[in-house]
Amino acid sequence: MKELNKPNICQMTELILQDTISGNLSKEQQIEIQEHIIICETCRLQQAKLKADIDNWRESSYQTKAFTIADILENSRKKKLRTKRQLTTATLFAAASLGFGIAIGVALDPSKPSATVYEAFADDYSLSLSSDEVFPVDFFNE
Amino acid sequence: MNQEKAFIQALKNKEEEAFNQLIAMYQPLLSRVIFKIVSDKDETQDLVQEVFIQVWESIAFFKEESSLKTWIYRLGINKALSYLKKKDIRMAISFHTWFSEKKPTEGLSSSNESTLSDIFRNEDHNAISAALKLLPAQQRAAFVLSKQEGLSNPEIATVLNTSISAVESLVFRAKQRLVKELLPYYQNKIS
Repeated sequence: MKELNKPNICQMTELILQDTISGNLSKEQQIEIQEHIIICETCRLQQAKLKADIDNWRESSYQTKAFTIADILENSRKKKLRTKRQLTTATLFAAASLGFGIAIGVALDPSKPSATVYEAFADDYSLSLSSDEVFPVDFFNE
Repeated sequence: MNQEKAFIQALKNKEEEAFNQLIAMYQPLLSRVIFKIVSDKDETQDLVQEVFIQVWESIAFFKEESSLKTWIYRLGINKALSYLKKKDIRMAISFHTWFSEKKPTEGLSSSNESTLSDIFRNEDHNAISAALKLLPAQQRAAFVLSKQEGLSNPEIATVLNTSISAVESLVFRAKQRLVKELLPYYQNKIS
């Protein structure tokens, strides 16, 4: 019945996993596993590997570097200071961007007639060279 | 018991020596539990320190209804879980996730073999650690406290601030999910 391209998968693997991880199998099922692993090498290897992996997982531990309360309070103080600085910088940047945006908006106000962007920024009329009020049409003719 | 009360009083008085003793006592426990939940060494280092800062700041509010160990377990687990929550939110709003075909939760909930294989390829962990990463945070925490720390269900309920039946359900679902995730790996690995 085994398919050609598939590995030899034993149906007992799931039961072995449930037994090792959950540990809530019935007595009959536990006996069934014990009897099966005597004759099935694949399952015997699977059970051994699973138990070894669980033991490794239990034993594997990461130990953080040793520190004292003075060290962590100092770290915390520095972290708070850094966060405060970052927050201040971000707030100033946001305020500057907002101010710049408002300035551009006011300058480019569509309700205010202006021929060029340059004129929009030129508050000083003497700089508005194309304005008729500064240079009347007949100014050069006189 | 009186010794613990005196120790807690020393902590409440912010005696540095008592705090250093507390760190020496609980740093290995917190490192172990937090690392098993977040699976990140740098983050574990930061989170363990944050737990002790929290103890320093809030020891005055410790009502002594549970043991000091249970309270510290709770602070550690809460830190680890809130870190995972923030990480999930960051992942959800990242451009990478928006434009990738898989949604963040999709990869975690799917029980296909490739997800487990991906974790193996990226980080050379053992099968149990890799499969644990596929569990939801609460289930992961309950499983670690039960299988690794050997805590009873009532103790886990106190640490996770939930009911005993909820803990039973979390541990049961965690084990079922692990069996489901690990099955293709062990079948292919050995056969």
